[in-house]
Amino acid sequence: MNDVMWYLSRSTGIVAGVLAVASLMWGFLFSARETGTRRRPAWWLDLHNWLGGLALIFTIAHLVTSVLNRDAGIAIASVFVPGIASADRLALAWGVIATYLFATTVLTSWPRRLFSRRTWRIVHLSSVVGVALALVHGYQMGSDASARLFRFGMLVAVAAGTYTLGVRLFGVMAKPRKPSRQ
Amino acid sequence: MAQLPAPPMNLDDVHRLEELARRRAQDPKRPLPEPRVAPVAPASQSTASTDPKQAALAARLELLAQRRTGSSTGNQGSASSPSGSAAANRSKRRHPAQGARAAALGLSIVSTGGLAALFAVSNPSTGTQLAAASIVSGQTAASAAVGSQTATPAAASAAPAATPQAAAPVVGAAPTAATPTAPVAPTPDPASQQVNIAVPAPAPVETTVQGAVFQNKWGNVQVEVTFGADGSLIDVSTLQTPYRDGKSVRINDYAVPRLNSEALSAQSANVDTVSGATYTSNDYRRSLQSAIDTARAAGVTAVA
Ligand code: HEM
Ligand code: HEM
Repeated sequence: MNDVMWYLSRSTGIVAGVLAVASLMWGFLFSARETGTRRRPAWWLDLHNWLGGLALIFTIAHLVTSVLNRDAGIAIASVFVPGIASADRLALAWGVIATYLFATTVLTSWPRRLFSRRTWRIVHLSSVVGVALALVHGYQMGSDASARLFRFGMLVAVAAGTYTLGVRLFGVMAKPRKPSRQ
Repeated sequence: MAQLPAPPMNLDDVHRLEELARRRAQDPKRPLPEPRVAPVAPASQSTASTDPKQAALAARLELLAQRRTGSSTGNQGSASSPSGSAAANRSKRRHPAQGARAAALGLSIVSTGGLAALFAVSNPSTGTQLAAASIVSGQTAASAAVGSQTATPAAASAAPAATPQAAAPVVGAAPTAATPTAPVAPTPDPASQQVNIAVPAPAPVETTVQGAVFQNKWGNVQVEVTFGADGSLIDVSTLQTPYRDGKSVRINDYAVPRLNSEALSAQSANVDTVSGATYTSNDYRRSLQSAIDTARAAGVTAVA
């Protein structure tokens, strides 16, 4: 039973990571208006929202299975409070913080009109930090972190995320007249 | 979706604009639909629009339409929405990426299951060998061999070759006596004979062997065994056991001493699994066995 949870915690962790990176990419590309002509921007935004929500759901599955895997010795409290874990303290803390950031991002996105555009965007962009932390967490903590394929995937994820960030930043610099209605 | 106070233009408006622009791009002669496409939702209080807003929408639409006509070819067809019911259109408008959403969900679930299955298949409760066993000090194949050959570089390097593979760790795989191999002349080496006092095998010295390193899901396991001059196991300890998580540390705190003492009394790798420490026990046995095999191959003879 523990072993099943162990397998699941790893696979959900990986899938959550992929979803989070994908959501990040779709978000940047949408905001950069680099959505091509094949798909409407609305398609990108819609998929972005969905990927973000899924990332949170898989993250929750990941942390639940991590706790259920008794062998890992992860106390419930250490899932909520970063930095109190008895082992792998930092690695786990990154995961916990990332989870909070994802949750905030997703939960502020549905009622986003309750916030000013600026506030919302700052909150929303914190998810970028979340994605970075989650990747560090997976890298430091994962049983598979030493596997070639895992590292390769990590590299691809980082490269792809950085690329879209670049596209977005480049867009900001190229057209300073970014329409940001308040 | 709660109905929130409508902002100047909400996402639904944007979606609607996009949709209209797309149609117009396909047929530039098509006149701008004067009113909006009726959102026949029952709960459509918030869509009752005012005139200024309508004007803003129309202007925006015009702009979008112009942009669209520039690159009109690649728009995905209206084939996917065969003039369906209003309800279908509405949900399509709300979730333009419906298909991709389903695909993403499906892929995620399948990958989760697939990865978990993969992990299960590729994860027996014994680890994979990272490094071979090696003799740290004492009796070696080289010194056990006939006197004249003992310390030639070739023979010295043959010692670790007796072990499963050459991936040995940093530890000088060669016996202490042979450590200065490289600078030494290729002919019979007096130095080694000084140290390995007993040239004829079996040497009456203690021999220390590091077992192979096995990596399992919790970390690495490696034992170190000291054999007495008579070939018996006189000391077994662990060089590495999983330490990354608190649970492993706690488990090994009680499991390892038990494994050690069992190995000593069994005088072999035939030790029982300590409950709760399956992985460590399995790899402990394997590391211990590799150490024993290496020692025997080097001429450390067993008592029993
Ligand atoms: C882990 C989850 C998520 C991540 C990592 C994420 C990330 C991002 C990023 C990086 C951007 C680009 C922002 C910019 O460059 O200015 C963005 C934009 C956006 N995101 Fe998310 N997001 C997530 C979840 C969501 C969810 C669940 C929703 C809605 C339900 C959402 C709605 C939006 C919207 C509407 C934009 C466009 C903002 C704009 O351009 O004005 N996001 N997101
Ligand atoms: C409270 C939050 C979290 C907890 C308690 C947690 C716990 C864990 C644990 C115990 C492991 C080690 C599993 C193992 O290999 O034995 C792990 C690995 C991992 N986690 Fe998390 N995690 C959290 C958040 C996250 C988040 C937000 C992400 C990404 C979106 C993530 C992605 C990963 C990945 C990719 C691995 C590596 C899996 C592998 O080695 O195959 N984790 N996590």
